[in-house]
Amino acid sequence: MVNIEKLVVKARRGNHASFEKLINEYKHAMYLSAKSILRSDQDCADAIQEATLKVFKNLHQLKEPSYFKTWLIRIVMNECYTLIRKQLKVIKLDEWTEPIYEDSGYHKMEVKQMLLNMPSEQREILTLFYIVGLSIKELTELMNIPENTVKSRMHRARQKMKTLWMEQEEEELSWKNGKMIYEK
Amino acid sequence: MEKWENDLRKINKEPVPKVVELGIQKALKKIPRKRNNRGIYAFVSAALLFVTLISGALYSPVFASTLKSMPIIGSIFAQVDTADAGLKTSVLDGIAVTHGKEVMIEGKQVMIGESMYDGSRLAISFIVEAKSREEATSLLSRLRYKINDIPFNGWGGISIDVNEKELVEGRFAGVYMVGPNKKLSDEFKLSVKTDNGFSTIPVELKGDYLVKDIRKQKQEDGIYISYEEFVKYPTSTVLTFTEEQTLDSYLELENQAIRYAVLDGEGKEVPLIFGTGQGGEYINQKIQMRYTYILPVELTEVTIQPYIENISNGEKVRDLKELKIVIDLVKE
Repeated sequence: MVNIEKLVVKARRGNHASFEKLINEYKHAMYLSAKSILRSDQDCADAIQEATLKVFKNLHQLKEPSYFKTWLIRIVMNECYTLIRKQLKVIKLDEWTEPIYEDSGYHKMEVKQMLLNMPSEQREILTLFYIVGLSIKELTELMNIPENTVKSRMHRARQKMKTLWMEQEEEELSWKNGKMIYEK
Repeated sequence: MEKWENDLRKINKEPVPKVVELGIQKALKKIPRKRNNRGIYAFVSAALLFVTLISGALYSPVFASTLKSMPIIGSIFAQVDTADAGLKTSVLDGIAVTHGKEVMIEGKQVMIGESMYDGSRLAISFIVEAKSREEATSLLSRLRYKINDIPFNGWGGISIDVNEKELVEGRFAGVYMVGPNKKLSDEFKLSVKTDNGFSTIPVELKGDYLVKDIRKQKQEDGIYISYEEFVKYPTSTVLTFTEEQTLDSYLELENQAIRYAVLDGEGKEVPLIFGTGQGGEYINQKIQMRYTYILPVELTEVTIQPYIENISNGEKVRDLKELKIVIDLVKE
């Protein structure tokens, strides 16, 4: 089992191999966190690349090695937002007109798609909790909000997801019964 | 767990795309292999020479008289008013070790008096040069140390107790305690950062301990508590238990939280030596917290009464009666 704190201490002293191990240990969490904000894998790659360099440069500022994971994910997410801000300045016309999915009939929406359709705050909290696997404590540290606020955001996000899921199930049932429930 | 929750969890299993892997590799290649150590623990080789030069002046007459003024039967641990009974007698009981090492920290004379490690916690006694209790406490709160080269931040909760009254003029006695959240080895080096580099003292586990199983599970309203065991150490008793809560139950407690009243055999609140709760992970469809309470050694019976507290005003909402447990610390 990897001893993260020891790796952080060694990486702070300039041990490249330890830094590489740290990044490899959390690359999955980095990708999943980035994907909660950015749509394309290329954008995720760009943000994670920048974040990795920033992490190395600022590792000496991390006072508590046990907080490395949440600190790392925060840097990744900040890079994602920076990328979005840069991209908003240059937006291609077809990206604006491109629909999320074609409404030419019934398409079973995967839970991933439902996530994308949610407000960003709710999407982030569900991704970080269920997919990245952060604990409640880690969520409060990462988002810098009290536990109670984490609770209420989680509650709203789950309610929203439940609603989307139930709508999906109703629509599926309607199609199976040969009826369309949405009128154009 | 609802199906959408299961589907979300499955996303975690999807591999990292190649394009992201390449991005990471690009970043790692850009990072220089060698860099100057700008860490806060950079060593200065000349520091060793300085220690030799000034050590003659380090042992001051004030310290000498401080040591002479201490009662013969006591120790620095025994001098600290708020230290628990187990710690106060630890030197006499042969559990604590005397070091009497003098160092300079932030320009102040500090004596590392004794260390006590019996497996439940690590305690170090100090005599600190200061104008007030607050100044002594403040200096100890900025103490930097390593345990076998791992900086102190990684080891657990800390508590600092300094006497109100001076031990002798300009000197205050205090205890610095660490409740480790990970296992320490039976022997280790404790290195304290001083003005002249790190000063190291050896620490060794002393005394025997006895593990007593409790193995009782209680349940109420989507909350599950497993009272696991208690361990009797020479200077304290450590109780561990796990709380699990369904996500629905957790979210229903809006602006509320589960708290634990720890009471003695007469129903009075027990002054915990340490109390820590860790976790919050979502495991097996429940949010899990693990609690470790370090109890005074003289306690013979303890009652744990979980209750719901209103976070905004700190008022008790209700007791969780089904989750209560009374533990005989002598018989069980």
